[in-house]
Order: sequence, then structure tokens, then C-alpha cells
Amino acid sequence: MRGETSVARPWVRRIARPQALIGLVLVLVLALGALLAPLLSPYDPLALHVGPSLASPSLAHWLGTDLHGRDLLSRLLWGGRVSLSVGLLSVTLSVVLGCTLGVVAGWYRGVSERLIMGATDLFLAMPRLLLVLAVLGLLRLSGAASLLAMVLVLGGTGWMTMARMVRASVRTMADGPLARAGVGLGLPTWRILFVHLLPQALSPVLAHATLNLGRVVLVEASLSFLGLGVPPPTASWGATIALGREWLHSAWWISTSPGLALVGLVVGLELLGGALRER
Amino acid sequence: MPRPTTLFTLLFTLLFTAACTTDVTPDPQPDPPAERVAFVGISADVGSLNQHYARSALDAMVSEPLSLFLVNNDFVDGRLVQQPALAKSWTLAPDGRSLELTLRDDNTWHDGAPVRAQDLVFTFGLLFDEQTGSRLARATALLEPGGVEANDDHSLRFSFVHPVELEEALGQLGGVVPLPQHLLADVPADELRAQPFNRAPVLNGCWTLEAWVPGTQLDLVARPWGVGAGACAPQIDRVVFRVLPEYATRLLELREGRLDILADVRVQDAAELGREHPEIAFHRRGPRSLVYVGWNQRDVDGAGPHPLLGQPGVRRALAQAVDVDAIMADLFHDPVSGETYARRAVGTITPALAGLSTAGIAPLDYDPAAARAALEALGWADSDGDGVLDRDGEPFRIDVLTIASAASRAQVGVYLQADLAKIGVAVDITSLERTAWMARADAGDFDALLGGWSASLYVDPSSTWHSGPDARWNWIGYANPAVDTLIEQGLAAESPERAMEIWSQLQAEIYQDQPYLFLYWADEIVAVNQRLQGVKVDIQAPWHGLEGWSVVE
Repeated sequence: MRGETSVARPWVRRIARPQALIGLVLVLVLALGALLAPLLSPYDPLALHVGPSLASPSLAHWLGTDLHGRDLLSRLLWGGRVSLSVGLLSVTLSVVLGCTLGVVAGWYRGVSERLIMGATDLFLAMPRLLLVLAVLGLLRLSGAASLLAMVLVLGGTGWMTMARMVRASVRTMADGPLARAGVGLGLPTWRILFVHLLPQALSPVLAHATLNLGRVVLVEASLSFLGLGVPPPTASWGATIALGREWLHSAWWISTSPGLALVGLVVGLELLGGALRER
Repeated sequence: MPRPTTLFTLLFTLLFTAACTTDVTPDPQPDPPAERVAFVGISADVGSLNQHYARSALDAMVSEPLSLFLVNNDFVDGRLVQQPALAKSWTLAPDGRSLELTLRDDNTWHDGAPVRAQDLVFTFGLLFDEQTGSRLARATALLEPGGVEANDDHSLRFSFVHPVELEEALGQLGGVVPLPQHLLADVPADELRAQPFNRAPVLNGCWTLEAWVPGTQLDLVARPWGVGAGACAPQIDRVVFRVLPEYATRLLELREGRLDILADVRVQDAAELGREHPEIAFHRRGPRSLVYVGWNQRDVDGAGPHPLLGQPGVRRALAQAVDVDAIMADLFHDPVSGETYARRAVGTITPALAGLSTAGIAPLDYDPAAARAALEALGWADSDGDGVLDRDGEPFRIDVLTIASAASRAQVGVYLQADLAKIGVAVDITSLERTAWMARADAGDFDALLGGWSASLYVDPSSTWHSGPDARWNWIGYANPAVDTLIEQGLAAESPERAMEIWSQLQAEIYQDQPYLFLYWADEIVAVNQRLQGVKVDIQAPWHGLEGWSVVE
């Protein structure tokens, strides 16, 4: 009980900071909107001609409509599901990969460490967006497969910093009393690593993952903006921004709402992640 | 060593003296007259400035002012009417088997060398050589092999394989861009395509390339030559083509007066701009832009028919399922004027041409119920209740390739998905960069292509519809012996009227097969700031005749 309190208190203290609260509210509002999209959406986000073409915001269509008469509020809410799903799944994959590789590198050292850290440096040296563009361009997938590919590629290119963090912590703890006790008690190595050491290294990793989530959402939006992300007609913030840029002068509302939502989500996650990282 | 105060005093004295010195320069020169410049917005950079290797309609339009063609064309009542240009007069032999052209004797290349009939013989010699790979090689279709001779420096004779009419002969030959023999004679034909000449050509037109900053802008400057009628005396000094890939940026620059000409303005924007900017005039041109969906006729390895799209019955059903009128209403309808700037397409030959008949073609009506029934009659059914038709366990799912930068086509893709979903056909849209799109099209690696053509005013369907190996744009693998025969007959027709009859038959024959989902012909709106006078906008180009332009400040 004492241990739980000592772990929970710093988190509570960090989240109670004003910047974290602002971030949390932003993220929660957008996440709830996405989560409750089926209930909140006034129209089918894919249905054409639910309103006039290029209608400005009104009572019937709070955020207006696009060229095809699709309701932009509905597309914003459903688009949030795509952005957040891709972001959460990718970051989860990154955390799993980063923690596993970091633990292995920090514990076993030697050749394993050199190989993993070499791969880490190699991936870090590559511009992420270019790498993702190249891989998605080569895979040439469509439909749900392209969504899955995007998650895998984004997750597969975001684990490096986390691997470094975990490796550094595990390396330090490997000679510490916790590890020695585990070895002395004859616990299996996997248990020492993943049940006893890894939780001690997770705090900075989770803070970094929160920050990373915002960046992944941004990359997903960039890919959709470039036509390589979520395939049409699925609603996505990046694709809606791309559609709206053609109409910036005459129908400013098309790009505005997903643009603001994207900014809000990324800023919220940055504030939250920043607060969590501070001691 | 001088003390700091001494140095300071010296410096102050020098500066003070300089400031008080009167201007001793002679009487100031009058300001040179301001340069007269026109700015044209273009959406992409140019690939080649040599018309023989133009890769797009944009390449051809931007490079056109660099050359003086054998003849110029006016488009009158659906026909091209030839006017003297490099050829100042012509005579067709009474038997229609030869044509004599007399060339101007005052035209020069950009390097000052005179243009001679021998340059034309050289150019046609290159066109006869398949290794050259010129896109203008079709100009030799009517000619006997080696049927171009120079009588003297300014007189030329063409010999034809069969009797021709003057309009047909000039139409075929007049669009050839002369190339300078004195600069290119030593270049092997198969190396011409890769020559630096194509990016900095020395040609014979009224304009010459001064600067080309890739991806940014391209400057043409005036090069007056000759005297008298037909000589070149431009009224502006420079034309700047500004590369602005983003449509919104192009529109902003037009609005702010930093562009004088912008083609492809959207209907909705034209209506608004017209209200807010009375200085901008709008011209409607076309129809030359066809948008279509090409169905691949072959399977991926080219060995047999495409498993989904190989049957004409399936393609007809797909055509019935798409509401083309609704697409045109959304994209091209101007609610103010009530006009729609597009019309339904039934073929690849522009309906602007006189004599083209669509009498044998009944456009398929939008009828999703009939489309679904037709597919079910062919064995397709939604056996697993997932909303997508299937047969033998294979879902009816097609992948449509589109070009990422072609925003209007991406919009068409939305309608395609929605309409075909109603009959149980799933459509995935794969958006590719233009080069990747072309590579997959060339390789036949697709189910369907969402594409567009800028139709030629000289009809030659062979590159699109002939089944032979030279049909470079027949990406879908269409093969119909009757169509091949009609193409050969049409190209060899003795008169334009007869050719048009054949082309009409050809369109009807192709429409029966539905190798394309023919969508629409779009009219283009060209915006011109009225500070620029004399701009000629017609079906041939959104701008041409640059020498007739003048600037009114």
C-alpha cells in the first residue's frame, strides 16, 4: 500500500499542474468526441449530399459541408477516431518494441547490446517521414491493409528513444539490489526483467510515449494530407485538410475545423507529456 | 601611432566632406522604359521545351512560342483553318499527290542562322526514323518514304502516298516544329531525346528562353525578326511562366494581380472572382479535357482477360451505376448563370470538331437497379451478406489508380466509390504520384485508371485504341480488330469529311465495348487580367499568339 502511494503521488502532482490540466482537458474533449462519434455525429460521415455543396457553418451543419455535401462535423468526429486509433496503436507498438529491445540490450550487453543500439542509431539517423513515405509507397496497399501498414510502419519507426531510455535504466539496475535479489531467489530472467526492473523504468517512457502520440497523429495527418494515409472515403483529419486547401479562399471552413482539432490534440498531448516528464 | 582622437577627427572630416560634396555626375540619363512583362501561372514545371518530346499538354503550350511552325491554325466552326506562318504560300498538285511550300526568307534561328528548306528536310528525316521517338512522327503518315525534298533554300516539296486534300495535308504537316540542321545533324536520332538542346532549344520562333529556374519559373523574352506581314514584332518584352503547384496559391496570386493569366479556374471561384475583381475577365474554352475511368481488359500478367473487368457486360453495368450527371452538377455547375461547364462523354474525340456524329451512340442512363441485375445475371451475388458482390468466393473489389496532384479526379473518385457501393462493388482509390501512376499504367499493373486526356484537334486514335505495339497510351490493353481497321481507314481517308465519318463509326464501336467509363468533357475557364490585352483564348490553348499581347498599365 505504501509503495502504491509513493508511485501514485508524483503522477497526481504532475497532472495537477495547470499546463497538464489544460492538456488533459484538450485531449479528453477530443478523445471523447472521437469515442462517442457514433452517438454525436448528426449525419453519416460518408454520405454524400446530406447538405448543400460547400455550405458554410449553420444550425443544420455546425461546421459546414464540403464539396460533396458531406457534413464536416460528422467527418471531424469520425476522423478523430482514425487519428487517435492510428496514434494509440502505433505508440503502443513503439512502447512494446522499445521496452523489449531496451531491456534486452541493457541486461545482456555484449553483441546483443551492440546490435540493438546499432539498429537504434540507424533508425534515428533516418528522417522518419521519408522512411514512412518510402515504405508505404513500396507496399502499395489499399483499404484496411493500408491502415494496418501505417500503424506498423509508424510503430516500427518510433521505438528508438524509448529503447535507449529503458536500456540505460536496466543497465543501471542490473547491478543493483533488486536484480541481485531476483537472481539470488532463482527467479527466471524474463520475470526479473519484465516484472521487477521494467516497471521501474516505465515512468519516463510513458511520458515520452505521450509526447510521441502527438507526433504520430501529426505524421498520420501528413500522410493522409499527401494521399498516402487512410484511403478515401474514410474520414480523416489530414485528408480533410488536404481537400480544404483547394478551397481555402471560398470555403475556409473545410480545413479550419480539422486543422484546429489537430493543433488542439497535439498541443494537449505536448502539454501533458511535458508535465509528466518533469519531476 | 596616431591617437584615437586623431583617427576619429580624420574619419569625421572625410564623412562630412563626402556628405557635402555636390553630385558631379553629368546630367542624369532618362530612366529606361519599364519592361513590359506578362505573368502566366502554371501548375507544374515543364519537362521539355522541344515539342518533339513534349510530355504533357503543358509542355506543348509553354514551348509553342519558341517555334514558328510551317502553318498557324485558327479554329473556325469546328475546323482548323491554316494560315501562313513559316510557309508563306502553298500549292497542291491537281492530282493531290504533292504539295509545294514556299518558305519565308527572313526567318532565323535563335542563334541568327537562317532557316532553310533543308532544315525541314532534316526534321522530316528525323520523323521518318523510328529511333527519334518524336511525338510528332504522325506527320509522316501521308508521306511517301523520303517524300520531302528541298527545291531550293526556301522551297519545299512533299509527296504523298495517295491523293490528299489541302486541308488534310496542311493539317498533318503544319504542326511540325522545325529543328536546326546545323546544330543537330551530328546527333544520332536515338540520342536526341536526351540532348540538353531539349531544355535550352535553339528554335525559330518569336520568343527565346532566357532563364529557367526549375520548379520556380521560366522566362521567355521577345526576339523580333523580319519585316512586313507575318514578321515578328512583339508588343511586350517578356513572358514569365510561374510554377505554382498549389491551386489556392495560383488563385491568390491572380487575385493580388501577380498573375495575368490563369487557366483551369474552378467554376465556383470564377463566379466569386468575377464579383470581387472586375479587372479579371473570364474565357470559356473547350471541350478538350476528357475524364474517364479506364478498365483493364487483361489480368495482371497479361495472359488472359481481367477476372473482374474482362467482360463487356460487367463494364456496361458499372457504367450504368455511376451518376455522371450528378458529378457534373456538383463539380461544374455555376448556380449564378445556371450553366454547367461540362458535358457527357461517349468517346475520346472532342465533340468540338465539326462532322463528328454521335448518332450511333446512345449514352447509358444512370440505372443502378439495372446495373445490379446485370451483374447478378453474370453470376455475381452477395452470398455472405457483407454488402459486396462475390463470385466463386472472390469479392468484386477493384482498385482505382488516380494521380495525387489531380485534385478534381480525386473528387470523382469519391462519387465512384459511393455509386458503385450501391450495387455492391467495392472500390479502393490508390492515389499515386504522377510518375508512379504512369509506371503502373505502362506495366498494366492496375484494375482501373482514373485518368484524363487533353484531346488532339488532329484526330489520331491509334495511340489509344489500336491493338498494335505502337499504341503507347493503350494502357488498358483494348483490342478490337474492327476498331484497328477503322483507325487505319480513318488515317488514310481522302478527305476530312470522310475521316470524320469513320471516326464517328469508331466511337460507336468502342462505346459498345465500354473499355472506358466515359465520364465528361470539361470546359476550362481561363482568367485574364485585363491589363494584358490581345490574349487569344480558344480551344487550341488557354494562351497563344504571344506576339499580339500588350500591357496596359
